[in-house]
Order: sequence, then C-alpha cells, then structure tokens
Amino acid sequence: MLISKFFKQVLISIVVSVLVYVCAVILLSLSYPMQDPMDTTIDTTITLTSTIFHNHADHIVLGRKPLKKNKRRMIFLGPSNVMMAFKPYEMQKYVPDYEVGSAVAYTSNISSNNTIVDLIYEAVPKSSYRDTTFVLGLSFLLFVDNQSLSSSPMRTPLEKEMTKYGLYRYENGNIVKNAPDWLIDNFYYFLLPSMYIDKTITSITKSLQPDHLRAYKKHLSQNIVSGNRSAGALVSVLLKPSTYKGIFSFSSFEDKKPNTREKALLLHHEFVGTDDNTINYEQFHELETLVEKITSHGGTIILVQMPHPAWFKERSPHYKNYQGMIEDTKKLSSRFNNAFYIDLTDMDNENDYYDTSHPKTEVTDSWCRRLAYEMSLLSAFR
Amino acid sequence: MSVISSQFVLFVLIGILIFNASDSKHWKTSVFAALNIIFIATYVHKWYEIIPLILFVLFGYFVIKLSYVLKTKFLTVFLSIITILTFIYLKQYPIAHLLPSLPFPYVVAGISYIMFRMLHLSMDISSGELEERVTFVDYFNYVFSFLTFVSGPIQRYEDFEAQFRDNRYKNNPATDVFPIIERVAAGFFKTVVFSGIFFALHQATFAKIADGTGISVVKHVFFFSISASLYTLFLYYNFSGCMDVVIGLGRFFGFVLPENFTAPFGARNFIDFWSRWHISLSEWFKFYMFNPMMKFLIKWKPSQGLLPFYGVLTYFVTFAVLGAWHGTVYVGLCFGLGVSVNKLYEIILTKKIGRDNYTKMTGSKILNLINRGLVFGYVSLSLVYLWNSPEDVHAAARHVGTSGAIIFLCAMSAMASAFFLFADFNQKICSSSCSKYLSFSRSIVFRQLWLSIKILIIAHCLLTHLTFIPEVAYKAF
Repeated sequence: MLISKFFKQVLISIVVSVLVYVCAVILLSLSYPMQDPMDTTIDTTITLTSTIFHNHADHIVLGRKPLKKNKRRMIFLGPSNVMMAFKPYEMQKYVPDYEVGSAVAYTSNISSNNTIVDLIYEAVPKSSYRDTTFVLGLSFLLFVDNQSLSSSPMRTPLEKEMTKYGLYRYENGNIVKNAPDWLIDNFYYFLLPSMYIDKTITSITKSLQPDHLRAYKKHLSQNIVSGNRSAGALVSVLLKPSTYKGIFSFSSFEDKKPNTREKALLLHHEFVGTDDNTINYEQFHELETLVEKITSHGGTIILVQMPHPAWFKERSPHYKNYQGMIEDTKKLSSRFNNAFYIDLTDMDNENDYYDTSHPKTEVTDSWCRRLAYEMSLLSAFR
Repeated sequence: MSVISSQFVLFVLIGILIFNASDSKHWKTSVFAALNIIFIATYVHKWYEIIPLILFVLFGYFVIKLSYVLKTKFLTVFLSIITILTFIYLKQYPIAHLLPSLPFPYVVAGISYIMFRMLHLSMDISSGELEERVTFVDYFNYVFSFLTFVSGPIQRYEDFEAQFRDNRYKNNPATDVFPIIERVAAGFFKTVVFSGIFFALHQATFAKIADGTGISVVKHVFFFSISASLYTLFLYYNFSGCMDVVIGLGRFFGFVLPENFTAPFGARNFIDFWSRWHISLSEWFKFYMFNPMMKFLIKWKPSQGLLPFYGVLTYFVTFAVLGAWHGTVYVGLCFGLGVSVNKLYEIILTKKIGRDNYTKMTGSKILNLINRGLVFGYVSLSLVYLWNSPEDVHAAARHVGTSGAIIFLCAMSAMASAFFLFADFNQKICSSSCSKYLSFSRSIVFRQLWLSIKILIIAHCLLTHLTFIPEVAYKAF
C-alpha cells in the first residue's frame, strides 16, 4: 500500500513537472517569438537575435538535429564574410540538387572548423557522408593561431561551448562525448526555457543601455551571456573594477581618430597577433588535416579563396604575406581526390564591400551565382 | 555510483519496488544484500580492487565472533587498535607512508563508516550491550548498506536490525509519502543547486588570491574570509542534502535513519555545534571515546575538583581525533582546541559569575547572535585545512600576520552574525504578517507545484552542469 502510494506520488510529481515545463516553454515562446532553427537544415546565417542561440558556436553544437536525415548536402564553413556572402536561401536556387546549409561561426579559425566538421559528422548518417560537400571560404583571418584566438586554456571558442553543458569533456587533451547521442540531439529542447529567459533578459538589458555604455559592457555580456555562465564567472566579472569604470566615464577613449581603412588594418594586426604580420603555418597543418578528414569520409571539399577589395590587397601586409600560403593551398587541393580549389579573388570591386572583406547585401546574389558557376566547372559537379 | 545522480535515483526506485514485493524477512534480507553488492560493484573497475575492503570487513566479522567468545576488555581494545591501524594504512594517512603501500589501486569508498560500524559492534558485544547473535548476512547488510555506505549517517546495529525485522513502516498512512518525497527533492536541491553555486563562488573568490604574490593584506584577508565562509556553506548544503536524500529514501526500505543535522548554524557555542553537525559521528565518538576516557580518568584519579578539567582534556582528545579523521592533524587541532577552550571558558565563567548568571547570560539575544557568528567563523577557519594544504595556509598566515588572522576570524564572524540577524528578522516578519501566505504555502497544491518546479530545476542542473556539480564531499573522509 505504501509503495503504490509512493509510485502514485512520483507519477503525479513527474506529470506536474512536465506540465510546468510545457507551460514555461509556451509562455516564454509567446513573449519572445523566435524562428525555429531546427526547421530543415543547419543555418547559422539566421540572425542571432531571431533565434534562441547566443552565438554561432552554440547554434552549431545544439542545432545539429536537422542533419540527421539522409540528404545530399552542401555546407558552408569559414569566416564571417562567407556567412554574409553565401546565405543558404540565396545559394539554394543555384545548386538545387543540394540542401544548402551554413555552419559558419564568427571568430573561428581552421582548428574551429575542424571541430565543426567533427560535430557535423557526428550528426550526419554514415550513408550520407559521400553526399556531403563542404565549402570552406578561405581568408588569412582563418589562419590565426589558437593562442591568439582564445585567451582561455581551451583551444577554441567552439570547444568552450561544447564543454559548457557537459555534453562533451576533455580527455587526454581531446574532446570526447560525455553524453549519449539522444541527449545531445535533443538537448536544445530541454534547454529551451532557460535559453528563453537568458535571451529575453539579454535583449531587454541591451536595449536599455545607452550607446556609449555598450562597448564598456561588452566583456560583461560575453562572460555571462555567451561564454562561461557559471556563478564563478559572474562573480569574477562583477568584482573587476573595469566593469564599473565605463559607467561613469563619458570621455572618448580614443586620443586620435585614424581613418577607417587605417583602423581596419590596425585591427587585423591586433587580431592576427604576430609582430611582423606573418601568418603562422600552424593552421595550414590543420587545413591539411581537415581536407584529409573530409576526403577520407568520402565527402567533397571545395576550398574557396575569398575576395577582398582592391585597396586592401594593395595595402594589407597580412594579405601580401598570405600569398605564399595561397600557393600551398592550391597544391594541397590537388593532392586529394574530391578536394577542389576555386579562386574568387578577382571580385575586388571596392564598391561591393562594406569594409575589408564583407560584401554589401546587393551583391551577394551575384557572388552566389559566380560561385555556383565556378562549381559547375569542377569535375565533381559535371 | 554517486548518491546525487539520476542513476542512483533509478537504482533506488527499482530497489524499492523489488524490496517491497514481499513481506518475508528472508526476501528483504536477500534483496537488500543484492542491492548492496550492485552498489559497491559500481565503484570497482577491476575485480582485485575490492579485495582489501572485503578482507577488512571479514576481519571485522572475525573480531565480532571472537568478542562473543572472549569478552575481555584487553582483547577488545587490542583488536580495535588493529582495526584502526588497518584503517589508517588502507586510507594511506601520512603516517601509513612508513610502510610500503599496496601495489594496485583499491576501493576505499565508505571504509571510514564501515570501521565505525565494526568498532561499535565489537565493543557493544564484548561489553554485553548487544546480546543477540549477528549473522554474517545481517553483518554484511549493516556494514555495506548502500544507503549509508558513502557518507553515513552512522546507524546503530540494534536500530538497523530492529527496523529490518519489524518492517514497521509497512503500512504507512498516506500523508507519510509526500513529505518524504519532498525531503528527497529538497536534498537533491541542496546538493545540486545550492552546494554547486556555493562551490563555484568559493572557487571564484579564492582564485582572486590563489597566486598569493603581490596581494595586499587587506585584499588577502577579505577574499580569504569570503572564500572560507562559502566553503563552509558548500560543505553544509552538500552533506546535509545528501543526508536528506538517503534518510528520505531509507523510509521506503523501512529504515528510520538517524538525523545528522539540526540547524548547525544556530549553535551558540562550539560544543553545541557538534550536537547539531554530523550528529551520528559526534554521538559515536561520545559513546566510544569520550565516555570511556572520562570513566578511565575518574577511576584513575578520583577528584571532584578535577572533574571539569577531565572534561576539558577528554573533549580535546576526542575532537582532535574526530578532526584528524577529516584528513589532517591541523583540522583535529582546531576542533580539539575549539571544544576544549569552549569548555574551559564555560567552567571559568561559571565559577566566576555563578551558574544562574551564566544561564541568564547565555539567554541574551545579542550575545547569542555574536556567539553564532563566532562559531561559524571558527568552523570556517578550521575547515580551511580541508581545501588548502597546510603549507599554503601557513604561508597565508605569515603573509597576513597575527592581526590579519584575527581580522579574518572577526570578519567571518561579523558577516555570519549579520546574516543570522537578517535571517531571524525576516523569519519574524514573515511569521507575523504573512499568515495568509504561510497557510497557502502549506497547502498541498502549492507544495506539489513547488516540488515539481524543484524537480525541473534539479533535472536541468543535473543535465546542464554534468561537469560542474561537486561530488558528495564527505565521501572523501
């Protein structure tokens, strides 16, 4: 009698818990409507503000369920200019035989993309490996070494997201699964209420901030919203005096205002992190690993050399130093079956760009058309 | 298998179902033994890892059998010393490094609590307090009880056997079930949520000063105080949460396990603290160390005048050993000093102002608040050796100096007192003006809803912080 009462009570508690959970998801989704990222394919080009995710790495780790179906796919990888240039919905009409997706993550390098490919292969059925084509947009910014990219002991920001929820863990320096497949595939649904709350609060607080405070609070939001969200990190950020310094400071933090192009070149210098503006070969070796991995799985990889505006090609020391690596990349693609190289660097009309690499919205369709044309000339697509 | 895990919950649920499938004592004994074997097996990766523990337990059974036959104090003491020395060797306390260690890894989880149970059995049998025969299966189930294996509470054999035999909770009234489930959920909530948060905060604040170099004394003392206080809170929520879980679940196996915590931070002095914190352990030490030692001292040199000071000495030795059991001699010294100085203070003050005045004084609310803060501060200071090596603690002490150490203790005590004042005030306000809310909060609807929300939060934390939830801390002792 006791036991039947016990199990009855346990059942009631579970049922009520499920009801509370469902109500929480419904109420929160109504208060902050968002696009369902699990619709048909993985697509990190969907604006983050209209998804539940905080960053692209989050999206890739938790949003892979659509890849479970057997399909012929084309998945874009690479830096942010790939995301802006080749949106799946624009590219799709030029390659109708494929389902086009995008697994581009900001602030990534080749190591990160290696991890992304591993994550994709975890989700894609083995029978679809041969039908999966990766299109990797290359730029010298993708060859920034791991130490420059991430100040934390973890190798890449993507790995930080993977280990955040305990779905993956470190073992002997490698990342391994720490949870069963069914949990990883459906973790997104489990996290929904928490992510809704998090996203809603983030959006409210961002919209309430005066413009001049946004820059100073950037590191605060990075730590709490998209980075390490543990209580320890929160305390650590709140205890930093620099967190509060900007609130009371109204003076400009720039002594001089270099012109935009100079500023961009300086930004690249800081981002790449080498004193002599050279590009280290650490990430090139990662690229070799990536190409070998994809081709050994029976898939296809297309290495696309992304364009830059003409002024940048003339003035950027990084771009000049990168030319040697471009030659090596062409040779790399010829070493493997199903590895191809496409050069788009002649698309350097300065009016087509916002800045040093990102195309304006009005030209992206033509870029997609150009890429599709170049692909049609490759043996794999004839 | 961790007690705070979804696997343990599933294991226990299935166990409850099978255990209660029949009322036969033989059935329950066999099922319980099987559950214990399965639970221990989860700690074993290779078969030989369990051998030292099994041999230790078998030795304990041999001692018990011998105690039935040869009821001599000398033998009991001798065999108890052998048991304790074996325990020290297996746990590899620093002194055990004089001997070569075993050439393979082995399971030591639960060995402390096994030792306490073995010693209690052998001493009670040899003194005649326990007359009934302890069969091997009953001994095995008692010593290896999966509910109390990892971190207690230490239940007396007589209670264990009686509850097993009587199964007096066979037909519980309906109201018994819900509060038990609430307690289990509360236990998980404390361990998974609260202790996880406090642990993270403790680590984050300690990280501010972990490097140690170039940090000002003020900053060092400030962050160390906060970090130490947070560790105490982490330990409390972690351990008491685990106790809530096992005590709650034990009810469905017919056990009423002894309580291990009764509002420890309400303690007015350090002696009172030990009647509220890890109660079963301090009770064990009281029965099997404090009382015999006091009896010995009184017999050795009977003197009314010296009697209170025998108490001081016995308190020091008992709590020094209890503290050393936690892992380091320094914890033992802190505990021993704390209790014995407390007792000495009580003796001196009572002599000076008289018992009546002393009782009146201890009734003062302000003094109680200060005392509660001091107790919390001293406990936090003692526990510093659990999360820092003695070398690091001494280096920090040298850096901050005596004044810094005093400020450290005062800072923690002041923070604690302020918090207790706030909490007491809050409770007073709520009970006087929130009667409608209070009666609603006691309704079954609210309780069910709150229970379900807790279950969701626990499930969320268990799944989203798989690498974050600290293990049950007392498992390591």
